[in-house]
Amino acid sequence: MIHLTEAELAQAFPFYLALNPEGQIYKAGVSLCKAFPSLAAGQYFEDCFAIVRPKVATVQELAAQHDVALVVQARQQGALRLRGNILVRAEGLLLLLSPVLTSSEEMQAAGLGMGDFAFHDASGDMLLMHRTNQMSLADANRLASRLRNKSKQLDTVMRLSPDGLAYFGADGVLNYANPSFQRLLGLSTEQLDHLQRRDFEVWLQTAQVPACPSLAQMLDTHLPLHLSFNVPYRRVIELQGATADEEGGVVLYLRDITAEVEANRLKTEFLTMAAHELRTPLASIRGFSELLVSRPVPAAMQQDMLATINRQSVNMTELIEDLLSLSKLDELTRDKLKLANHDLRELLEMAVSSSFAGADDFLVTRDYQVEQCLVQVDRHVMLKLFSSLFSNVIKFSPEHKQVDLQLRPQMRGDAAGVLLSIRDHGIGMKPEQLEHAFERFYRADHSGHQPGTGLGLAMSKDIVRLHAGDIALDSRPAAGVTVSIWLPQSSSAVSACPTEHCY
Amino acid sequence: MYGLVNRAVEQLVEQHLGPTGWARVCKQAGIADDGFVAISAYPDQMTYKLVGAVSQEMGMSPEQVLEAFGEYWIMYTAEEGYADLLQTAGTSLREFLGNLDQMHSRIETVFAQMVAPVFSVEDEGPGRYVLLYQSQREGLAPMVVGLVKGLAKRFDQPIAIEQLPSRAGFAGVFRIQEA
Ligand code: HEM
Repeated sequence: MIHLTEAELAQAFPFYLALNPEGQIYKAGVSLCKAFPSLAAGQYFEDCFAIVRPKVATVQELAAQHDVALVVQARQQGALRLRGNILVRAEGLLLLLSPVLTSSEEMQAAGLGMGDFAFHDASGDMLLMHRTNQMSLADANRLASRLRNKSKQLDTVMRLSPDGLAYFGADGVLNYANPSFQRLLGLSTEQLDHLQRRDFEVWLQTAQVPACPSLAQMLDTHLPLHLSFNVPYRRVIELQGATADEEGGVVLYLRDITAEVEANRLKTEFLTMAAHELRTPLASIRGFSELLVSRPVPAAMQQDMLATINRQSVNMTELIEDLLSLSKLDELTRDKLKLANHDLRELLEMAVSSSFAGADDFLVTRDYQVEQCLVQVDRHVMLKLFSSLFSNVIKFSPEHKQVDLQLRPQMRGDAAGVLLSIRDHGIGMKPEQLEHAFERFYRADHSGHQPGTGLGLAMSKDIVRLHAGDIALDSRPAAGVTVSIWLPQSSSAVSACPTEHCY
Repeated sequence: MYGLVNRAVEQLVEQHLGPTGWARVCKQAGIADDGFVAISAYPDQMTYKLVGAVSQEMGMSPEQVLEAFGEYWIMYTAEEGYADLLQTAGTSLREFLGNLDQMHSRIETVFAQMVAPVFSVEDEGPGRYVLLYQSQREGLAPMVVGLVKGLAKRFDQPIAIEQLPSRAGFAGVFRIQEA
C-alpha cells in the first residue's frame, strides 16, 4: 500500500477535490481554490460543477464509474473544464482533476499560472508547446509571404527581361517560360503548353540553321550555343543552360545577340570596304605617278594623267573626310549636339541654294503645308544632312532634273512632328538596293560611274536618329527616290531662335 | 540552435538597423534573409555567423553583441512568448537563477533537440552569489551576462555582475552583487 499525506496529495494534485458521500465538498487543492476563490467547504459539488462525462444523473453514481475519465464543467468561472480520475474512498469520492486549457490566455483568464500545475502535469508544457507552435506558424507565414514577395519580384524581373528564361522541371516538362523566351524563339503559347524537353530539342534542331549540338551536350560543356533563325525574321540567339536544382531541373537562358553579331559583321565589312575604297584611287594615283616619273610622256597625255591623279586624290580626301565625320557621328551623342530652335523651311532653303547653285537646270518644287516649322536641331549637322541628300538627288537624276520638297505636320503617338519628303525623279532603286541603302559603303551602282563614298545615307540615318527622328526610303527603279524624314516639333514655339543668331 | 534564438537576433537587428540592415547582415553571414521558424532547429554555425555579421555591421565586438542579445532576449523574446514561464521561475533574481534549470527543463519538452545550458548558484553572503554556467557550446558566456542584466532589470533589482576566472568543466562563472 502506498499512502499519501494530505500535503503530498495537495502537491501532486493541486486541483483535487474531496467529496463526502452526500456529494459535499470538504477539501480542495490549493490551485483549484485559486481558480475558484468562492469555493467553500460544505458546498454541494453539483451546485458548482456540471458533470459532462460520464453520463450520470448524480454525483453518487460516479462511484460505480471510477474507471472512466471524468470531465466536469464549472457553472461559473468562465465555464472552466476540468478532467481527471475518480477515486472511491470510504470517506467519499476523491477527484484528481486538472484544468483543460488550450492557451496561455485561457490559463490567465482562469487566474492561474504555470506554477499552479504539478511538475508531472504536462498541461503547462502543452501551453508552452501551443504558444511555440503559434509563434512558429506566424514565422512560417512570414517566411512564406517573404518568399512570395521575392518570387513576385523575380517574376516581374523575368517578365520584363528582354532576355529569355525558361525552366524545365526534373520530369522534363516546361515549368516556366517568360514572354521573351516565347518571343525570341517565335513559339506559340500552344507550343509552350506542356512542352517536353525532348520535343523542344527536336524543335530546336529543325527550326534553326545550321543545327546546333544538343542541349545535353551544352549542359555538359557549359559553352553557350549560337542559334540562327530566319523565320519569322533573321536573328541570332545565344542559348545558355544550367542545371537548376538537385532534382535535375534545367534553366535555359536566351539572349538576342543579332545586333552584336551584326555590328561585328559590319565592322569587318566596313574595314574591308574602307580599305578597298581607298586602294582604288590610290592605285591609279600610284600608277600614273610612276609612269610620269619613269618615262617621258607627251604633254597632252601628261595633262590627262595629272587630271586623273588630281581627281582621284580629291575623291580620296572626300572619302577620308566622310570617314572622319562618320566616326565623329559615331561618338556624337544627343547631349553633344548644339540644339536650338530653327525653322525647318529656312534650313531647307539654305541647303537648296548652296546645293543647287551649280545646277541651274534643276527644278525645285515646294509644297509646304506648315506655317512656321520650328524644330530643335543642330543647324550645322542638319545642313550637312540636307546637302548630302541633295547631292544624291543631283547624282542620280541624270535626266528628269526635278526635286519636290514637301513639309507636312504628322503625329507620332503623342508627339507632334513634321514630315519632310524629298522626292526626285531619277534612276531610282531596286528593292534589294533599297534594303541595303543605309549600310555604310553600300552603293546602288557598282559600275564606278558614280562618284561618292557610299557613306552618305548611313550618315543621314545617324543624324536623324540623333535628333530623335526617323528616316525612310521609298523607290522604284526609274521612278525616283523619296526620302522621308520625320522630326519632332519643338514644344516651345516661343523660344524661336532670333534670325540674326541663326545664320 | 533553434529558430527561436535566430529570429530573436533578427528582431534585435531589425529594431536597430531596419529590414535593409538585416538584409545586409544576412548577406554578410551568407544566409538567406527569409527568416527562421521558431521550432525548427538550425546549425549552431548559423547563429555564430550571424553574431559575427552583426558585430561587423554594428561596429561592436562579438562579445558586446552577445551581451546585448542576452538582454534583448529577456526584455522582448522571453517576455513576448514565455511570460508565464518567466513568472513561475521566481519573484527575485536570486530565486529565478536558482530555478533556471527547472525552467529550461520545461522548455525541453517543446524544443526536443535542445542542448540546454546547466546553471547552479552558490551563495556567498546576503545579496551576493556566484552563478555557475555549464554549456556544450563555446563562447556564449557574454550572453549570460546580458541575460542576467536583463533579468535584474525585469525584477527592478540593480546589480553588479563580474565574470570570474572560470573553473574546470564550466563555461562561465559570474559573481553577482545586488545593490
Ligand atoms: C522563457 C525563457 C527562455 C526560453 C524559452 C529559452 C529557450 C532557449 C532555447 C530554445 C535555447 C537554445 C538551445 C538549443 O537550441 O540547443 C536556449 C539556450 C540558452 N539559454 Fe535559454 N531560454 C529562456 C530563458 C533563459 C534565461 C532566463 C537564461 C538565463 C541565464 C537562459 C540561458 C540560456 C543560455 C546561456 C543558452 C545557450 C545554450 C548553451 O550554452 O548551449 N535562457 N534557451
